[in-house]
Amino acid sequence: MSFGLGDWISMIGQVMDRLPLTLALLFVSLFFAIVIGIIIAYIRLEKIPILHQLATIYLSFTRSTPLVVQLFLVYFGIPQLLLVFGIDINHWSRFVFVVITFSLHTGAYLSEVFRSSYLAVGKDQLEAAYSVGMTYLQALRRIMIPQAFRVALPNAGNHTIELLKDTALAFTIGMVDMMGQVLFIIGNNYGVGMFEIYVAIAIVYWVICIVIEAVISLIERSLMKKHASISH
Amino acid sequence: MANIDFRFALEQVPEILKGVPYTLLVTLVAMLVGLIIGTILAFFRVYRTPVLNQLAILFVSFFRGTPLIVQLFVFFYGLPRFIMYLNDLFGWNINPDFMSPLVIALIAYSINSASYLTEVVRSAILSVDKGQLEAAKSVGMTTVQAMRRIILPQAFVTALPNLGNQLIILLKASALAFTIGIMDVLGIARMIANDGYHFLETYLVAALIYWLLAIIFEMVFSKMEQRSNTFKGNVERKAKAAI
Amino acid sequence: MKIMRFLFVIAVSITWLAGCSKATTEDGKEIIQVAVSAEVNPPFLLADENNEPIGYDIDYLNEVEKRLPQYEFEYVWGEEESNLIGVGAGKFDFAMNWFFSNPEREERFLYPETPYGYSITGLIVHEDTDDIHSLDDMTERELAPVAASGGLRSILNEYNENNDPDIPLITVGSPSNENNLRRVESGRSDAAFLNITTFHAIQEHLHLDLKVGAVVSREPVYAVFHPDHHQLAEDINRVTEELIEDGTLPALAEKWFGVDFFQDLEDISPEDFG
Repeated sequence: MSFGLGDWISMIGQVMDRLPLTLALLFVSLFFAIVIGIIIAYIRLEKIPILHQLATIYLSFTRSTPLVVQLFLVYFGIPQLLLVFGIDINHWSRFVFVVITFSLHTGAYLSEVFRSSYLAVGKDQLEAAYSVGMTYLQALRRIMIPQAFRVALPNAGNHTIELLKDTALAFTIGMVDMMGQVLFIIGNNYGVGMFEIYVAIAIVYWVICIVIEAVISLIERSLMKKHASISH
Repeated sequence: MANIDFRFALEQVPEILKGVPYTLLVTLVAMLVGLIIGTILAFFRVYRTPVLNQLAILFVSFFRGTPLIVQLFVFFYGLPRFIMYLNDLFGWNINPDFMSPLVIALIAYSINSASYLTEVVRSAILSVDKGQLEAAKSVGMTTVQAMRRIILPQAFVTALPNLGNQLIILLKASALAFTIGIMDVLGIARMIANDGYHFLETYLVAALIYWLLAIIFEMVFSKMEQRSNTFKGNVERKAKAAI
Repeated sequence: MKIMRFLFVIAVSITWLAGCSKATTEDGKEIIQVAVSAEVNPPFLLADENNEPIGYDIDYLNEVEKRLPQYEFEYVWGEEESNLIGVGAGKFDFAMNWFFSNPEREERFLYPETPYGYSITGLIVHEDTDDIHSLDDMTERELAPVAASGGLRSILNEYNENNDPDIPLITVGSPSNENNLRRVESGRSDAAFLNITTFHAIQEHLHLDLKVGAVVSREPVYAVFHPDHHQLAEDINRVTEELIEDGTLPALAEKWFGVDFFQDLEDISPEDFG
């Protein structure tokens, strides 16, 4: 190729400069996704009228339509919608819109993870907790959540990795994340070296993904130990 | 001033629907081939077959850990290049373009979905009680027999909801096939939009089509789950009878 | 049906208000949101080391800004499709890239009368190819893959609509120019259709055995405006005419492209480049 080693190092450096943004998108979205996931799971578990139906439509929509369509609806649709009520949020940073989209998207998946792990722990345990005089909140905090958390962890980890890869979509509306930087480099070079650069970025994402996997399995193992010590 | 030209959107529905066969083809082939490869790899993982187990781990990690679009590009630009390299090396004369973009997309999607399905199948096999395998063997079944008659049917039932999820994820992911030239639902939507810049209209139509397809998939799977729950009862009874 | 109603509500709400928020700077200038295409296309538009937009497009807009003190331009990156949706929705005031015009697009967006430049499109062939002189020569041959959207595609679509037989097209989402040119060099494709300036810029890196077989068209390029922004489009149009007449834009074209594309196409031959 027409790239020397020096070019490669500077290119990888340029891409890594955008790593903080990719990670910020990942963690901020993940935080709100967890919050949304818990709320939706609660609504669906308790079958709260109206909210329950709305949540079902929301889940169906977010899980079945391409993410880029959702991004357009949030980035262009919501500001127009709010303008009707005289609220202008067009000047908000794109970061906010991207985070809203990703949080809603991942939140939908996480709510299903949380819901099924809560169900997996089983109602019997909740009743057992009541029978020893715990309140609902106590039972949740001490009995249900710790166990459900352990059940949910592998799936939640998978969705975190999916979210990491989805962040590459932020460039569609012009946020220059790692993928965006890659596309800028390719574009500025008239497409020269496209294949090699794609291989390189794949490896960068892979490494981040391996780190996430390692962290999850570390948490899993430490939970196992705790769990074992409780049961003894 | 109207921003959404509903008439235009409506008029384009039949045209965009023409992409459905390609969307379904990519989704279903990737699901089927992915399930076959995934099951094989899952066995390597469950039985910790030396070398193959490690390779399977590497395979799963790589294809789950890198963006699909990157994988598509690597296959699309990499395969012809690899063939040219082989031609140079061995003096062969293979046409580097003998695989159409559709074939390349089917390969890429199958491999990608195999990486996800390996984990689905593996966790499903592990969910079946180990004692059952031993019990089956104790009544004289071979491992293969026990797998086919006892373990896999039960694992399949456990895996069903996850398989349904993967199918819908695959359905959405298939929209990226457009980047290497497959005229699927989103591909046609974007192409129609270009001449008059009607991107919002055609994207909304495409979103609705994806949503409908997903709802159909969900219904099929919930039917299958209902039936398999009866089936599960039968299997458990049969398994107990066999033991 | 619930689902349909839900989506309908969203759609109607977007339709309802094409809001044009009039933000102003402290010294009373109107802030104009300019969406620039993230699919950079040097030398029209590219990203500098700080990921700020530069290129012929931006030099031109800077000149415009100088002569229109009432406006201040604010640049926002975004992929082209997203930008066009954004202009339609009123989020951006206009979108900047080498947009080609056609009647269907003019129905939807506001195009200024005067183009700010030209894209000279051509067929790139192998050095030994001597029988490709126009698009007509491509109906029996293989053209390297083309994008599904964008101006180049529109030229080919238009050709295929008005001519029989068609030029067979292979579509990919984002074709790699490098890959396409290598296809032509190695004989896997007979010609690649692209912007001639782009070709020469790539040749500086790759030095492939290729040449311009045919100049196909001199395509006027425009910025596209939100349909309600008549005043803005008129102001910019007026300044653009001035800039062409006083030689500013031709000079910028020389600077970025090495050729003054404001001349007639007949006066530009493949040899004028590079």
